[in-house]
Amino acid sequence: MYPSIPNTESVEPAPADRPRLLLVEGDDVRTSRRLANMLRDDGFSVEIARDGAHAIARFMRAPYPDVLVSELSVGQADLSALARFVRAQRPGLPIVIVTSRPNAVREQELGEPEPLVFTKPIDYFVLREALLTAVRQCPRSSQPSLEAAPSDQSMR
Amino acid sequence: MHDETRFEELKRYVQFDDHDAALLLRFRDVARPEFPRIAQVFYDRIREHDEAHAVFSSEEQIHRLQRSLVKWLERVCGGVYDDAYCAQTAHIGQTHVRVGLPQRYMFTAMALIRLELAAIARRELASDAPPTESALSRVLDLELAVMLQAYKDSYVDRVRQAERQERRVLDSALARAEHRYVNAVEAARVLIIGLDRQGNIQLFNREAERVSGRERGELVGQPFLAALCIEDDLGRFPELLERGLSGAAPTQAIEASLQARNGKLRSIAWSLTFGGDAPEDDIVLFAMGTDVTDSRAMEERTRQHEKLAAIGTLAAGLAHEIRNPLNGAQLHVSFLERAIRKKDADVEMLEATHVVSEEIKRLADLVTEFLDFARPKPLQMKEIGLFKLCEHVVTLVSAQAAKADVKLRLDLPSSDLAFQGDAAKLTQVLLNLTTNAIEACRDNGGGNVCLRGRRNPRHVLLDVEDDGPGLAAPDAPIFDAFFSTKDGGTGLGLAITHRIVSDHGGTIDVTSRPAKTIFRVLIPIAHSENLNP
Repeated sequence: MYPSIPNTESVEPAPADRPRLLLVEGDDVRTSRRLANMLRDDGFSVEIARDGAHAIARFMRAPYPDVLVSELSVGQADLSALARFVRAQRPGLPIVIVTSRPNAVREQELGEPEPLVFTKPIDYFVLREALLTAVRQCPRSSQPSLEAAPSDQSMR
Repeated sequence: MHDETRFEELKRYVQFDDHDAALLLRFRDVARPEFPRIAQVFYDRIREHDEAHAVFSSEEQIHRLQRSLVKWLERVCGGVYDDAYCAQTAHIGQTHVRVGLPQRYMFTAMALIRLELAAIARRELASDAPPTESALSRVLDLELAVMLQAYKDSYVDRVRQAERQERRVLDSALARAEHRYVNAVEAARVLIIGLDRQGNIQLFNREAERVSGRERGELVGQPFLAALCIEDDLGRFPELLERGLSGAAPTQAIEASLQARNGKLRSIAWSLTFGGDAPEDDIVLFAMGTDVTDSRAMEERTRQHEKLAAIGTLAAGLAHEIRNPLNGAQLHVSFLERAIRKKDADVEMLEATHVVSEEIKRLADLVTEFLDFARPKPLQMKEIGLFKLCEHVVTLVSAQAAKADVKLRLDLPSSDLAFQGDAAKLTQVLLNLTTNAIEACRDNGGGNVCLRGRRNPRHVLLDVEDDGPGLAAPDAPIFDAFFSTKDGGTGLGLAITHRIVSDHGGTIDVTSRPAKTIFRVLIPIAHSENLNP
């Protein structure tokens, strides 16, 4: 058995100037957490949502994530529902999808701007650069569009 | 010596002589006043018989005929009985035949006249009556014999005419039947080859000419198997042919190849049928064949597509299952690599993580390539220019060619050609083929590769030719997935190439021998037009 990978920063309040990522876990929780930790090491504030419903709930309170990173499987209805919700509430918010079925993702109606799709296995460093670019190109919005929910950075 | 005429022969038979002629001449003077009355009686009797009367059309005609009968009586008792006399009698007989007087009335009418004239002789001539009656009897028999000859001649003519007509009908029917059979044989979309007892070709129909590209004139008399290079996989054809020639029961169909004039093999489904043992016909066996080359190719393509569809379904699921653990492995390797770098960078450990990372990438690329093959994206059909396509490919591979000491040549037609296709996919096809060609030459120490574009009536032809060592086994299933003779090759390049070409509705073929290998791609032009007519 591998030791479980701690979600080391999910309970810590994120510094205000760090890019805020909301990572929606896929089936491989261990790898998702490893990704989250590596991104945190590289200066991102990463929150983890275990599914689409939790991610939607997270978008109902400030501070809002700057980027949504999804590892949801294509077969899960959550991905398109989540994308629709995010597009409605945070127009222009970058969405990054990490998937083993890129063609199936591209066939889905996920709105504009077109999500960045990364095919597994991902090159971590390429992903990191893409996230930084996305954050730079899409300035943070300070005002919530919905009534703020109670503060709870961890959805787990 | 004088040849006896038929009339003279008849006179000799009834013993009619000059004495009879003299008696009749004397009798005419006595009987002449009675001739009109006899003519009247004669035609009155005819009026009593429908069929005899039917030959008359009017009273005027009867009067004319009565006058003719009087003249005839004058002639019969005229004392001159030569060939001219006979000819006149024959003419009268022919007239009777022509007007349709039934033959039986000749006898009855002659009997009536005979009785009338005999009565006059008995009444007027006393002691000369008996010999005169005999003379009358003989001359009237002669008249009858000559006139009846006209009936016989007419009958013979009619029979001959009927025979000729029947022959004409038969000949016509025969010609029609022959024409139909010849047309059926010639127009049939089936190879029909007639063989004599020795197995030599005696009949070679149009379809056989079309499929083989050979003319019947050059093949008639040639041995069937050898002349057409007919071979089947199991080598059973010669034995079946032997059995067929000996009249054995019809053989089951057998598929065998036939070599056409252009050297290409056509697949033919043959059946051999014994044609009978008619002594008047040389042909004893019919070899009938259907060209199944195209349908076999179609079946093969269908099988290939079905196989690919099944592989595609499997691959899509498998790719998902493989990419997920690969992702985990890759991410953790990246984590390790970064951790090692942070801790004074142990070079060997860094290299180890790098190797693992590269291997994971290679595996991921393989999965992606396999998915491209098994689950290709739909074609993006647009108008493509032949020149641009080929020039682009040459640009892409020119550096690789130079490095391999391969001279790359582009051979294009004088004017450009536009056709429908997926530019990216067709670029991939030509890249695969030219890269393979360059690698083949490179392994041979260099060489020449030519990318050729041409227009066929309905297709764009794209040839990639090299002078490398050639395929090790030209019959190997090189277009099958995972078939590769290259070290480190995935065996998917040509399979993907084949698939792209097939998806375009085209074909890909290869001919190979040492120093000359040509991959030929044919893509339908569809609705394209010349760019520079």
